[in-house]
Amino acid sequence: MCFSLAWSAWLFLAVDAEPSSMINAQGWAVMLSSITAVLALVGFCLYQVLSLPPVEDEHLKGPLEIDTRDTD
Amino acid sequence: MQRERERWGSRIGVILAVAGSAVGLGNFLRFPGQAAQNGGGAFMLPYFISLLVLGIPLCWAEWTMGRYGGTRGFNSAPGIYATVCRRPGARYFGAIALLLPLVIYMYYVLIEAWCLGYALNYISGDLVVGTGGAIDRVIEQVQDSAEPPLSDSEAMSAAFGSYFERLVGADRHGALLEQDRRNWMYVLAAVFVFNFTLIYRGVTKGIESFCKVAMPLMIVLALIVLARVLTLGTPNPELPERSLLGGLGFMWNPDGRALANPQTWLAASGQIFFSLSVGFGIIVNYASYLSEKDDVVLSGLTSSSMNEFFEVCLGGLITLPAAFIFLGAAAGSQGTFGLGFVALPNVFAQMWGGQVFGFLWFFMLFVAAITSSVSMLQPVIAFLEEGFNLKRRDAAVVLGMISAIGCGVVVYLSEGLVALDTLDFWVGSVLIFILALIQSLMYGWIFGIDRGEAEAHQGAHFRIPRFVQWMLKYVVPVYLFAILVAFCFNNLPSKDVRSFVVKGGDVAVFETDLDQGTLPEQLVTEFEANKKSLPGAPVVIRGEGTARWLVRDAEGSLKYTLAGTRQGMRVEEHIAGYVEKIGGNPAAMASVIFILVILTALLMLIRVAGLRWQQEGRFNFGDANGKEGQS
Repeated sequence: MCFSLAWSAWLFLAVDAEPSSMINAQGWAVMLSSITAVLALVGFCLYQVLSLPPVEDEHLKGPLEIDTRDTD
Repeated sequence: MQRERERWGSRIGVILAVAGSAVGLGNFLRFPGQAAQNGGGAFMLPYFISLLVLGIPLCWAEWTMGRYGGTRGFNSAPGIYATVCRRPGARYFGAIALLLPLVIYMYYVLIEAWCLGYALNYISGDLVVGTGGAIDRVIEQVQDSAEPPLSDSEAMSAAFGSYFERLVGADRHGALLEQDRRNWMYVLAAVFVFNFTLIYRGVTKGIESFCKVAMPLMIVLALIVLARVLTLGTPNPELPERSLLGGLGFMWNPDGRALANPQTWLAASGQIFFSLSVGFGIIVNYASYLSEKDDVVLSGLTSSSMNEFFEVCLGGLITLPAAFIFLGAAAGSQGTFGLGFVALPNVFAQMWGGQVFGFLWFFMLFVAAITSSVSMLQPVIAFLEEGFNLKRRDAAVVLGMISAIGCGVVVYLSEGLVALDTLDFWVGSVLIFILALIQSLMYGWIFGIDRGEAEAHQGAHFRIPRFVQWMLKYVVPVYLFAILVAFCFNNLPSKDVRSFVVKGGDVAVFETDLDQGTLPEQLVTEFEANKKSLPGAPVVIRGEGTARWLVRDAEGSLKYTLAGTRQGMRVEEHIAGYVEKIGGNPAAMASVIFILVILTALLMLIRVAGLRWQQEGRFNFGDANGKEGQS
């Protein structure tokens, strides 16, 4: 939350006088932070997905599922 | 008789299929344009907030409801909605969830054929300048007909525009059916057949197998093009600002003022919304092929993040930086089609190795489009199968005929792409908002967030924070409703936008000419100077009771309003809203009637299917968990 507030305040200050100028420090920061955030998220998710056992194995090792209906 | 349930073959398979459905032309062409027009890097703040508040929670809700319906025997939206709401009548909401992918497919397959056609034309050399191909002939024609003569770069830009208009038949209705444009129809037919071959093969052998190959292939192709863009340097030393760093600056330099503009927030929310494919009726269908033990939380997040990878990391680095390097800031103001099919071919024409990279780029767009279009067919196939007990082959034939008729309508009504634009607005934009709103209310207020949370966490590999459920109940519907209202406000009514003022001109002198129905020479020059195009044969009529004149085109559509003021003659451009477009254009009216006909037919089919399900006892929702309704 604090990060996003600081980021938005900083962006407010970054009033670009020449839209067609070379990439500036804020541009680099936004670009790199956006790409890093997305790469970190997709990397984390894919790592989690690919490191899990196949679905069939999970079910075999899972707890026994016997519905005794004693909670109905 | 219950048929055997189809299942996804693997966890990564369903993730790639959902991500493939979401990744499309919007990631590479719409996102960069939206960012550049709405504050550059500053756009990313509302973009990521919308992703967290709107996109990912809605995805989770759709995945959860889809799997819930699927484990109770339904794969199509009508059955899933009835099960989730525990009311047979709720199945009628499913008509929108079937209409959306079906109608979008009817025009999306055309766009897909454009991509493949462009890729093939790069191979054949037709789009390579200087080889005597088709584009060279168009450049010659443009230069011959231009008065005054155009520079080489202007002629090339105009030629690529003209080439695209001819390809899509934008010059007149029925143009694509003419003899000399038949090649495009063969490409379209091939794409159509390929889609139905995949869908006929089924969820696992067709969609999943294809996406397992297509998604990595897209990444490889995009990375090759990205490597080329990042090594472009400064192709023209006379224009040092048109360099890679200039292109990146054009896309990413933040303009903080944009954050104070509500339009930026609306654009960011809209982009997230369209990009993630929420509210399309596709995720609920795909998730219904999961078992009760399958994870939906990690899978939903992974597919959303993969979509973001394509959009931010690839789309954000390739499209606009490349276009800026060769075309300058004008590249940012183009629409999706203008950027994709006019500006970028122009870029490849000027780039070393453009033929190869042009082919790779358009082939990648084609693959991205296929993974999306095939996902649009599956919800309707599923409905035909379970609603009428059709075999997959029969369902594919029926759907093939329906979608071919719809596609034929879009192909025939090609003038100005009116039919495509009308279907895209009313179905591909407005109805998506409405369906997403319905689904968020269904999840938060009917299914219930407690039940939703418990259902989502069955088989989940991590927990969704509790506040997300509260957001789904209270924040998401309000947020969606606000976006829908703002979107309609921006697009439905017509507007007169002040363009320029002809200062120093004698209004009284203009009045004489205007009253005689002709535009004064000075005004025509000012239109050209301000880059405003006048209709071919403008009709000037005096407005009632005031010093205002209306400039209409030959068909009678209002284009500009001229008003005499103290400062001079004020020119306002008339931007027709979508309501006016329906009344003013028979093709738009026909497209809307076409949508209504399909919607009515779907409602009737859902009624018949629902009666059948009732007779079979499949609407026996039983206890609060709906277990008795399980097949």
